[in-house]
Amino acid sequence: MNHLTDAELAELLDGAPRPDISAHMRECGICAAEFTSLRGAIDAYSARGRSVTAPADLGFNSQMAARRGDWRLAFAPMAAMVAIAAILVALAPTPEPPPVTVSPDADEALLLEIQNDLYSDVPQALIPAAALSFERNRMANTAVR
Amino acid sequence: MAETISAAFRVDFGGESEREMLLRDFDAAIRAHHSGIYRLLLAQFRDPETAATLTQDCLLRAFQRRETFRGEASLKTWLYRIAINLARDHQRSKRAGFWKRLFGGDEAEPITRSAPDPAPSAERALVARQELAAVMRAVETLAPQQRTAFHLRFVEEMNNDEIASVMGVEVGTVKVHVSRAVGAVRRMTRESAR
Repeated sequence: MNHLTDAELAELLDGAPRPDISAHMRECGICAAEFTSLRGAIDAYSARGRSVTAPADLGFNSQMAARRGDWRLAFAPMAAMVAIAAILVALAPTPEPPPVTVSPDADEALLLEIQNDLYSDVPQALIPAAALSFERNRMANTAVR
Repeated sequence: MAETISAAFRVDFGGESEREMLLRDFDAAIRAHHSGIYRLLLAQFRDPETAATLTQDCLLRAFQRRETFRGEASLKTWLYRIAINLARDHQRSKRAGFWKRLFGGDEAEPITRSAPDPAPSAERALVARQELAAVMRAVETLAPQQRTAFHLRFVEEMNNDEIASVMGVEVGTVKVHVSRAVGAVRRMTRESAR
């Protein structure tokens, strides 16, 4: 005699077995005993499982959840604007550095600076004469060139 | 067939459908399902903290999506389906936990430890305890899908159609999962009887 398979036992546990399974159960003491033992063990497991309840502090408050949602919604436009601004900044062309322009009078300015340095120890009253002398020398040098 | 199942799942609260109830008073509609969701997740992860966190996530997600509940399945089925999906997501994101478990750092607390002990007679109590321990050991060895099907069938007392709807699988697949789980429990109880 073949004893009940796992699937047939599961069908029995479901409470709606096929007629041949029911017939086997009436004839086979081994399967009947095994089913009784299995049924008892699973019932005990079920009862233990159902005795577990969610912790008391596990309540859910939909109003709080809704408020949390509203809070997020209130900040959504601001967050979007910040994101758009960041994207625009990232995509904006970088301004080119201003071109370095060389003044045509740069040489003149440099010479004047040197002149001031040379005559820094010249008394205040003689500065025009010294400047005149410097200018004459400069013109002479230019003519030689 | 689908209509029959749908009709069987539909529950009325004094003429008010579950959908209407859910939209009118969400907290009251789901209150009866807190513990069931928690138990399902506890059976899945064997960790009370994870189960509690995921229960909260499940309720929040249900609240955010309450408009999508059409009432074709029962509210319980809909909520459990959300819980199962969250459990799957969590499982995927916790692959690293494998290593922790491998080195024994994540010893799960079995469900039964927090429950009271029945004590009819000393001998019967001993046998019952051994049988229960055998079922616990067997459930521990089950694949997640089998464990979920077994839990929904025998703890939450759902029928195969409801389990299929919750797990998003065919009824035939549920039967296979349950029969394999029963097979594992059968072998373990046999061994414990020897």
